[in-house]
Amino acid sequence: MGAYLLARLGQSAVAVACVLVLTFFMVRLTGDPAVVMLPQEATAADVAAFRAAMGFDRPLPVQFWEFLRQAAVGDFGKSLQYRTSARSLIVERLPATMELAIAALSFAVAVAVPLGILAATRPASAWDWLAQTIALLGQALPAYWVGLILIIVVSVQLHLLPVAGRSGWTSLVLPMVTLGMALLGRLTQLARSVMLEVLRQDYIRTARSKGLRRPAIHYRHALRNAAIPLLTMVGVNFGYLLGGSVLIESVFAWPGIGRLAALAVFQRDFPLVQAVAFFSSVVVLGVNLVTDLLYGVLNPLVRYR
Amino acid sequence: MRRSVIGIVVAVALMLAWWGSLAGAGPAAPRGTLTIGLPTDINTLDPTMSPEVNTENVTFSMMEPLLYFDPQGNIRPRLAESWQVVDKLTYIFHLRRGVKFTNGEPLNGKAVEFSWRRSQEPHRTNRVAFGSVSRIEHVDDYTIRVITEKPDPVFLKKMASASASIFPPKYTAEQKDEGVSLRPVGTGPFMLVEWVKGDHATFKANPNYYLPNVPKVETLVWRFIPESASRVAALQTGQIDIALRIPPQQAAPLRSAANLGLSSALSTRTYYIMFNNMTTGRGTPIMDTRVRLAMNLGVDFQGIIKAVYKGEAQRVNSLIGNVQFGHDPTLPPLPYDPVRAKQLLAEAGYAQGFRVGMACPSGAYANDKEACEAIAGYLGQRLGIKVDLQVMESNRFWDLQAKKQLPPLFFDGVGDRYQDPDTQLKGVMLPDSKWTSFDKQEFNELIIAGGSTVDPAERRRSYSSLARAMQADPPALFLWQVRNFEGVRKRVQGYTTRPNESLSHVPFDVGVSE
Repeated sequence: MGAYLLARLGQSAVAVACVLVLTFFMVRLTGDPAVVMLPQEATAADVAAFRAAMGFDRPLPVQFWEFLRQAAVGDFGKSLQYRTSARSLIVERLPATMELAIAALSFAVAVAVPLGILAATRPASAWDWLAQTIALLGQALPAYWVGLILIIVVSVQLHLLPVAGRSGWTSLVLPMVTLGMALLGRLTQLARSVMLEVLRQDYIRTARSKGLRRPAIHYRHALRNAAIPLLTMVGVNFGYLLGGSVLIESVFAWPGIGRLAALAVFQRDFPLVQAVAFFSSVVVLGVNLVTDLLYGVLNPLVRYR
Repeated sequence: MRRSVIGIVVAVALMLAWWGSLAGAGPAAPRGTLTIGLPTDINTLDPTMSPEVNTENVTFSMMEPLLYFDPQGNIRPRLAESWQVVDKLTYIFHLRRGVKFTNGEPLNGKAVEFSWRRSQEPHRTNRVAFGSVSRIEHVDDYTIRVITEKPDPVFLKKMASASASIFPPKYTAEQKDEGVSLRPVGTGPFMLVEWVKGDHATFKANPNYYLPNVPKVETLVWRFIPESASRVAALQTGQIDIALRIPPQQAAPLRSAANLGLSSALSTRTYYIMFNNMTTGRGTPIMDTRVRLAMNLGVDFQGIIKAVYKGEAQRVNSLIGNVQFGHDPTLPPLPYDPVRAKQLLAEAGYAQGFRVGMACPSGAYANDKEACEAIAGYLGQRLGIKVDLQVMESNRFWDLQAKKQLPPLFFDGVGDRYQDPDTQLKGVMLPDSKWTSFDKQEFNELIIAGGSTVDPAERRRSYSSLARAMQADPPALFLWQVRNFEGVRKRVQGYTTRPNESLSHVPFDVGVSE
C-alpha cells in the first residue's frame, strides 16, 4: 500500500511537471501580452518601453529558467493583470469554486442514487420512467440554456432566488442545480443499470431468502457492490467540477476559478494561466488518487500494487 | 367641472408643500443603495494600471483627477479650482484648498507631482495619457505647472481621465503597487468598503467630501455580470439598478416594463473596413482609388444598419465619428450608388470583379460577424467582388493586425474616451502605430496638423479637409456608429448614457428614490 502510494505520487509529480512545461510554451504561442494590455493609441515606443519594464523582451530560455526556478518552490509569479501573486488569486477564488462543486456533486448524488435504486427495484414503474427521463434530459439539455431558463422562471417570474453573484445559500441554488444537472443525468442512468445488474446476483437472492428487509438488501448489500462504478464516475466528474465551469460561472456571475482562468487566457496573463493549469492538474490527479484508494475501502478484495 | 377645480387646487397646494419642504431641508444627506451591473470583471482598482473603461469607471468612485469631463463633454474644475493655459505648451493648475484624502493626508502640490510622476512609469498600462508631458513641477503647495513636449489639444481632457488621478503620497508609497491595486485611497465622493474579485466592489459615501450634496447615495455597488441575459434578468428582479451594454435584441422587454427604462447614446466607436496598402494589399486591385471608391458606393450600408442593427446605428462620413470634435456636419456620408460603382470598376479594368480576402473578428463588437457577412454579400452580388471572408477569434485578429498580416480588407472599430479624433486617428492611421495598415502622406499630414495645435478653429479646418480627402481616396469603407443601450430602473435619478462609455458622472449626479 505504501509503495503503491509512493509510486502513484511519483507518477503524478511527473504528470504535473509535463503540464507546466507544456503550458509555459503553449501560452506563449497565443501572442504578445503587450498587444492586449496597452490601449489602442499606444505607440510602438510605448509598447517597447512596456515590454522592457515587464521583462517580455528577455530571451525565452531565460524566461523559462526563471519560471522553473520559481515554480519549483510553488511560486507562479505575479499576475500581469492583477499585479498580485497568481497563487493568492487562485486561493481567493477557491472557496467559491469548492462550494459550488461540492454542492453540485452532493445534489447529483443525493438525487441520482436513490432514484436509480428506486428505478432498478421497480422496473417499468413511474419511478423508473422518472429516472430515465431525468437521465435523458440531464445529459441532453445544454447547461447554459438551462441556467438562463431557470433564471427567467425562478428569479424573474417567481422572484424566489437571486440572479447573480455569491451571497448566501439562496444564490447557490440555481448554479448548483445547473452545474449538477449533467452529472445527475449520467449518475441516475448508471445507478439504475448497475443496480439492475447487482440485484440479479445470487447473493441477493440468498439475502432475500434469509428474509432480510428490502431496504437492508438494497442499501447495505447491493449498493456496496454497485458503488465502485458510481464512485469512479463521481471521482472523474468532481475533478472537472473543481476546475470550474466558465459558462455556468458567467451565467450566474459566480466568482469561481473558471472565469478567472478564461479571462486570464483572453488577456494573455501568462503567470495566471500557468498557475491555474498547475492547480487544475493537481486537483484532478489528487481526486483520482483518492478515488482509487476508496475502492479498497468499499471492496476489501481490491489490492494495490 | 367643480371636481376638477378642487383637484387642481389640491394638487397645487401639495406641490407648494413639497417645494417648501425642499427649501427648508438644506443639503440632502446621501441615502439608499445604487447597484450597477458591469459587463466584465475588473483586474485592479489602480486606475494607472488598466486602460479598460470599466476599471476606470469603478475607480472614479473614489479617485479624482484635477479636472472633470462632464456628460455634455465640457471640462469642469474638480481638485483644481481653476487652470490657465499659459501658452501652447504650458498649463498652470490652482488646487482647491483644504481637501484631504480619506486617510487624512492633505491634498497639495507635492501629492499631484508624486501621482503624475507615478503615472508616467513605463510599466503602467494606462500611462499614455501622460505621453505628451515633459515636465511636471509644483510651484507652491497649491500651484502646479505642466509643460508638454509639443502642443496637445486633448491635454486637458487627459487630465480629467482616471489615470491622472491624485494619490496620497505616503500611503501609496507604503502600500506599493500591489497594495494600491487592492485598496487605493483617494479624495473622491466614495470610500472602498470591499472588492470581492469576480463578484462585486462596494463603496460607501465619503462624509467629508468637499462638494455640497455629493454623493447622493449612501452605498454604491458595482456588480460584475458578464452574461448580458443575466444582466437583464438581474435588472428585472431589482438586484441591480443599471445594466450596462444591453444588446439591442435583448432591449425589448425593458421598453415595456413599468418600473424599467432604456437609456441610450450613439457610441464614439466608429466602424470601418480598412484597406491594407502597406503589406498584404500591395499588388491587388484595392491599390486603385477607383476600386476603393466603388466598393464604398456599391454597398447599401443603410440597408445593413436596418437589417443587422435594427436601425440603431448612424452612418459616418469618414473615420471621424458624428459625436466627435472635428466632425463636419456639412459633409454627407458617401451615397449608395451601384451604377456609379460599376462604372468606376469598369474604368479601373475590373468590370467582371475580382477576388479579395477580408478578415473579421468574432464577438469583439456587437454583430460584427453578421455585418461582415452582409457587406461581403453585397460586394459579391452587386459588384462581382468575391470576398474570402475569414472570421477569427478577436485576440488572434488583433495579433495579426499588430503584425500587419491581416488580408487586404478587415473590419474593425475605433473608439476614444475624449470624444476627440486625435488619439484614434493617430492610433489607426499614422504609419508609426502598430495598428495602421493604410499609409498616405496627405492623410498623415492632416492628422498631424489637427493634433499639433490647441486652436479649435484651426483643428476643425484640418479635420474637415481630412474627411473630404478621405472621401476622395477612401482608405476604408466608412461604416457607422452604433447606439449603446443600457437598462435603468425607474428609481434611478439623474443618470445619462454617455457616448464614450464613461461613468465618471455616476458618483456625483446619480441618486435613487426609495
